[in-house]
Amino acid sequence: MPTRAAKPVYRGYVFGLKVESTVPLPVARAPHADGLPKASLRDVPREELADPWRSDTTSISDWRTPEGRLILSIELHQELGYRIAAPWHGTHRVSKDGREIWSALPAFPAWRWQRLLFAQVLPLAAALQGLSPIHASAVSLGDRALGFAAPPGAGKTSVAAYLTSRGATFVTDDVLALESSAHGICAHPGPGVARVRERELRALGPAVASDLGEIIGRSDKIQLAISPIDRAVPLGALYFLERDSRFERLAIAECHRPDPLRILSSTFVPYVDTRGFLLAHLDICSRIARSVPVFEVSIPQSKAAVEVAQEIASHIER
Amino acid sequence: MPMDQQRLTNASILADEARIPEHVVYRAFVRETVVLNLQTGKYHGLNPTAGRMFELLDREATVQEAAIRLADEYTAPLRKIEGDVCDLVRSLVERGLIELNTHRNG
Repeated sequence: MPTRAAKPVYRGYVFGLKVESTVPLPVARAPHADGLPKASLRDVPREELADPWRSDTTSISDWRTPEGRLILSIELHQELGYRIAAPWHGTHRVSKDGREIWSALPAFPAWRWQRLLFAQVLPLAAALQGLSPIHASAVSLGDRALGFAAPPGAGKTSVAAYLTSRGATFVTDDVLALESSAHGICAHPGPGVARVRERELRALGPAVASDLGEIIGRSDKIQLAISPIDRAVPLGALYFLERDSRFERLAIAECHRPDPLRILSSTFVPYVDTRGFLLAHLDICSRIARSVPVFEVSIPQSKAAVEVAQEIASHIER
Repeated sequence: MPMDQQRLTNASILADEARIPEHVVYRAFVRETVVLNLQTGKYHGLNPTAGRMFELLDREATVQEAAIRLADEYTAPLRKIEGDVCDLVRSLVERGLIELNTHRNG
């Protein structure tokens, strides 16, 4: 009987996990320090992820176009864990403890299927291992992470890109993995990619755009390769960006009594209800409210993302 | 123990021991205390005064003792505090965030 050749293993560090993968990923090199939770990622044939899921599954998310075409599905099987699938982006299974990931990857350029890995699969694995992924971009400045939490479209990627072009170190584009430690709250790097709208990238200026990183793909946004920081840094401040027509001018105000709901609801994985994750998230949010400067950024609808980035940069410099 | 809300008079509540079940945790935020029911995944917000009541209910031997402590801390009339604490206890019991253990005979 022929034996399957052993695949090479790539080691990296992303969202607070030491990842061992049979496919190369654009992430920071694994740090030498032990103690980080581990996750193994193996690429497998699609059939391996299909059969056992026909029964006993709960649909968590079934996101479709108005015409009914599937965009993203997330299912939970009580024994097998989570299955995440999106057309063109592959099908993935994440074990219930977040330590193992099986990925059936499509024959498309890597940057395309990596999107789902970084936008759903690995943040879920991190959450299942006690980290708290929030919907935020981040940079490191003066060895402190500055996080920019916002729903899609508020300009958080532009803020991170702009600050990176002005000397900050890129931490993450869309998902910021936080962890509670004896020294405060640690912010872990995300993958070495950023997805920016083309007009926002142009608005940053040609020099800034080319300095940020190589363009590796184009879809609804431009995907750039950006080297992230290679270690965790303490969370120094958290900005909540809110874009709304009721705001007449851009304003940045420190919030001395931040709304717990606002912090708690910044989670990137609202569907995860394991005891470990809920406890970790509550703990981290409570610590943010009590010990991390929190700012609210009110953004009028008409304000361009680059202008928001410039105002925030000025605020940080002050 | 299963509770019939109608039977939860102030007098009976005050004599009881209140305990936070294992599946309930809470953390202080600046603006309020957030209580999390790990069985349902639901968060519940308590204003700072109710948050302090919740903390003392878990710590003191009876609800009455928690009320005495609160009346002292807030320099408020004990009868008023007892009424407020009992209202909070009823609301917490209803949400499964606290359990009452009776010490009464019979």
